[in-house]
Amino acid sequence: MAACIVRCVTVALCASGLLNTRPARAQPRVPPRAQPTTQRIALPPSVELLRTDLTDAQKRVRRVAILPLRNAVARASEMLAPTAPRDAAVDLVRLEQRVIDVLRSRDFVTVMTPSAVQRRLASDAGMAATARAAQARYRLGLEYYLGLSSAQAIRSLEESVRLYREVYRDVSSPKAYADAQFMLGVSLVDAGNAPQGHVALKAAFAISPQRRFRQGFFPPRVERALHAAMTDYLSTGRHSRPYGSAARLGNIAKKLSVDAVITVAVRNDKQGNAEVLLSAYHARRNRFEADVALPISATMSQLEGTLTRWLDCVPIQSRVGAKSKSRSKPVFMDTSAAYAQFLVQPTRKVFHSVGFAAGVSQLVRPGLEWFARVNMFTSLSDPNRDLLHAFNSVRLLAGVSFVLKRGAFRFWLRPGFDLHAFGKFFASIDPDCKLFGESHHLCDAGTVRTLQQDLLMGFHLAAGTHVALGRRFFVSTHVSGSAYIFPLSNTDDLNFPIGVQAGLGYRF
Amino acid sequence: MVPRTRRRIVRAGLTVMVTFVALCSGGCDSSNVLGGVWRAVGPPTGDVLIGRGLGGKSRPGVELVLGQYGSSVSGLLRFYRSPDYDVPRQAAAPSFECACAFVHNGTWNADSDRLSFTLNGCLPGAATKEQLFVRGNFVLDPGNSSVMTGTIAVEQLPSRLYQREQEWTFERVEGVSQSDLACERPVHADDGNVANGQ
Repeated sequence: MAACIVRCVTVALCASGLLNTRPARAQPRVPPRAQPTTQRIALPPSVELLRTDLTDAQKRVRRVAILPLRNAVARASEMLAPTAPRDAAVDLVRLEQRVIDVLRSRDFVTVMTPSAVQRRLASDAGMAATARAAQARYRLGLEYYLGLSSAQAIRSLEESVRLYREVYRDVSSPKAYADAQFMLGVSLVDAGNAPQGHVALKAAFAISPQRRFRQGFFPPRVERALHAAMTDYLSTGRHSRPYGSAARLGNIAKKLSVDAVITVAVRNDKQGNAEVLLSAYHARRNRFEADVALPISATMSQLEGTLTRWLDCVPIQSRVGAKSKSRSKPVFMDTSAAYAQFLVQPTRKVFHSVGFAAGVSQLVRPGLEWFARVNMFTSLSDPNRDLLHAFNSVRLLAGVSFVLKRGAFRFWLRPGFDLHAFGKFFASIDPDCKLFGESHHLCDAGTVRTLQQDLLMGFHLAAGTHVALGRRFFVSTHVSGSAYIFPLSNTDDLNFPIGVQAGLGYRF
Repeated sequence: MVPRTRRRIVRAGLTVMVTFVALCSGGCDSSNVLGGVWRAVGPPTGDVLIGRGLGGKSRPGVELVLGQYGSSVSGLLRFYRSPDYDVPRQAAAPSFECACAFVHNGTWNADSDRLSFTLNGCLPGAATKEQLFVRGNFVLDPGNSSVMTGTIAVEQLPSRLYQREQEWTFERVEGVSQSDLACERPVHADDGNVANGQ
């Protein structure tokens, strides 16, 4: 309870920004395990209580990636002047280093620098193969363009752009990606599709705002389109999200195995003064937790306050908890209404079995689960009442699941074993047996079918899906079939049950 | 959840329901029209076949106990001492008291609402001590499924009752209980008294 209250107070402090009144200090980074908790940070007592919820040894380092800085300080008028001087007011190298230094100065933070991010993404074998395909498409598109085959050039360049974006080359290799995007825009304009060309060129400038072109290299019509796209980007581009939406940053964070992603962009505000746009995206919470615009003149002084304010409000996870959490496999439980019928039966018409089922499954490793289910059925008489009595049965099923997760859906295929225990089972097609009973002298005993064994065993196969309803609950549906093979001589009268189930489940 | 996903869920749910209904439709139809205890109402018409009741009563009570299983029908014909259905005739009584006879080859034709069966037993009155092969044909009243009308006809040669036919109307009074199914072997059955066909 106390911890809860303290946490609430701290959250309020975080929200009000009170935790960021602490002046900047140059503090040597001490290895977490060796760091004495009480001397480390001078915070209000309530906050100190929160920080000491975990011992230092239990605290897990927060991994933060800084994506390459995006410089959108440019003028459309200078786009065709490759030798125009850069804006001296923006020292990007120093700015980027400052962000790195501030984050590195914090406890329990490891920083992935922009160059490390680029190396990591570029070295991914799978993505490198895709990037090579994108490059090949680009070259082909270029050939088509030079060969005046605009339509084919557009198709090839569109594919190149799609592949580059898929492997985050706007982060790791923006020039190659921008080349393809520019050429796509140019090809579209060249083919007379000015609106789409404008969109493509604007997207290209979003990747590489500093791109300059040699005057006269492109026809005047293309140069005008480039100018218009640049102007449009500078005035309406989404500069605060240089690498796209939260979902895309979430994917990048996943690729980099980091908890948070920092993006920094520089642009000119409406008065023409440079400003720094800084965003902090938290992957676990899937949201932007800091989103500020700082005037370039005050950036160096305000940058630390901004970053520390955000970082103080990012909870430190427990190493122990994280470890045990990573070890704990999610368990899925469900209860369902169940229906089944037998493809091989002693009755002339099908009889129906209805009941309920309950099951549990647990993830063993990605894509693989074990499962166990129990089904309880009441089998009802068929229309001819060849089944003399309704009977009850219990089925136990167990096996493994192969799972495929797609968004809110989990699809699975379950091979396993089926153990089916039956109650009293009598069937006959003789009406005298049905009315007077199987022991009556009019009943032809030769027509009576009973299960000599009340236990059948065999193989089972089911396919189904879980549809998530929120974080924990899910709707479960599945179809299944079994084949009984044991005992070897007594499966002729009743075999091959098929069934459907639908119900509600909960993930623990 | 995006509408597209929701549409997919609804579509999947409908598919499951349709499948379930399709699976059910093969066997959910009820076809138990005749099951129950039927008792004769009113005096019979036609030839004299099932005759006088006992104890001075004009006619006996006639009861059909039927079980229907699709197109197959099983059951028995039981006789009471009077149309009041208070005292059944006893197989354990002397052999002249014809008590009951089992229905054989009972079939139900759902298209024509017709029940047909045969008996191999006695008929109180004209053939109390005689074992006869009798055919019954009854049709359900189209306006009242608890009433059926039809005939029983003797097809036993060389019986003197051959081709005699009597028309009866039966009304369903209740369902079948275990006690309704009792039809004991007659006294002296081993000595030739096989009146009820056992």
